[in-house]
Amino acid sequence: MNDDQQYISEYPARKVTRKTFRLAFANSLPIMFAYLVVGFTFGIMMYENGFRWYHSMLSAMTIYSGSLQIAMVPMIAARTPLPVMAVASFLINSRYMFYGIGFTQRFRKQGLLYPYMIIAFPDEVYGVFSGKPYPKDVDPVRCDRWTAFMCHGAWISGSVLGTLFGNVLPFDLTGIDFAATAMFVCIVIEQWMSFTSHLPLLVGIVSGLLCLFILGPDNFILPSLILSLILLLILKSRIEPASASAETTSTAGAASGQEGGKA
Amino acid sequence: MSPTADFYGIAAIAVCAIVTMGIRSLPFLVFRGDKLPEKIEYLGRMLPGSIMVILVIFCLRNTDIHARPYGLPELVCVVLCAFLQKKLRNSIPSIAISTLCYMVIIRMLG
Repeated sequence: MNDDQQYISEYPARKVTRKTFRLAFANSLPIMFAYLVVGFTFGIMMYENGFRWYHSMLSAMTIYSGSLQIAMVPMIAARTPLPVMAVASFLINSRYMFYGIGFTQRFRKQGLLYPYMIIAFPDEVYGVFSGKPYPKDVDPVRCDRWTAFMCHGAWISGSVLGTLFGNVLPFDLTGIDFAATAMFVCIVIEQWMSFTSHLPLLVGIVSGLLCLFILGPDNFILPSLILSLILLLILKSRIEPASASAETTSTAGAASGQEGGKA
Repeated sequence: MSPTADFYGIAAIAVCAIVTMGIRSLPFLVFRGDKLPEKIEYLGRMLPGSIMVILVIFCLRNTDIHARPYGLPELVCVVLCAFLQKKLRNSIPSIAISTLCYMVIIRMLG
């Protein structure tokens, strides 16, 4: 459990703190921009439906899911029965079930903040945590924690500000949510270059597009995640030959440097 | 006019929050042991690769490729972002430049 602390002690503590904060900030920056704006959009919707800033704050703190929060407002306005809301929430957010796999050990290192890290785990934060492994002179536990704080803070701030000032916004920011798409594209590129096998990415392309074309934009995400999980299990021996699996690090998806099986 | 922010409204927010928290906790509740099963550990390493691609598709899922501008702004900016990231290996400029281009392009076409 303490191996992280061990190699950090080789570096001066203040330098580690500064580098850790800088990396957490740099990783969070594009997310914070996107969250401020999408949160703001959610805040405006809440304001237009008679909610106050503290309702938006509560939602942003506890739900912390853009797709559900934005789908939720018109449903609440239409007085959708609560059981239907529950089923809709499940369908919209079912993808989160898959995010925790691979982070159970990592988040436990947060101690008291372990439950918080589980709750504050939306798409974009999952993306950062699955991206480039941290360099050695960065404290991974604090870097994870600060990244989570900054992103969540931006999401809450955006939602509250949108509810308070949404009706007086002087400029048009349409399209800035492309930043989230761009961030995932960057992570895909990084993974393409660092994964020993490209099959996991190809599995994602195939199952994602297949399910999108068959099922349409509203229902494709859960089936495509299940399909890629099954495909990954079927292809296990090709993606990760037995010799490679022993050497890979615990960092999700990080390449061990060994050139495994597939060209 | 009765606002939506009555008891029902708060209860609806609570339902969404509880369901979402439950979904997020699920893998952490199921895989509690100190040593994960080998298959799960393998999935934990490989699944992000598949999920990131699916998330890109998820972000672009509502792009209409049958009507003007046929998803061209999205395609151009995704390719631009991928190219920049491959060249620079630094996501801040890749994200900033491609997002700015996207915002400019949709304004020129709209």
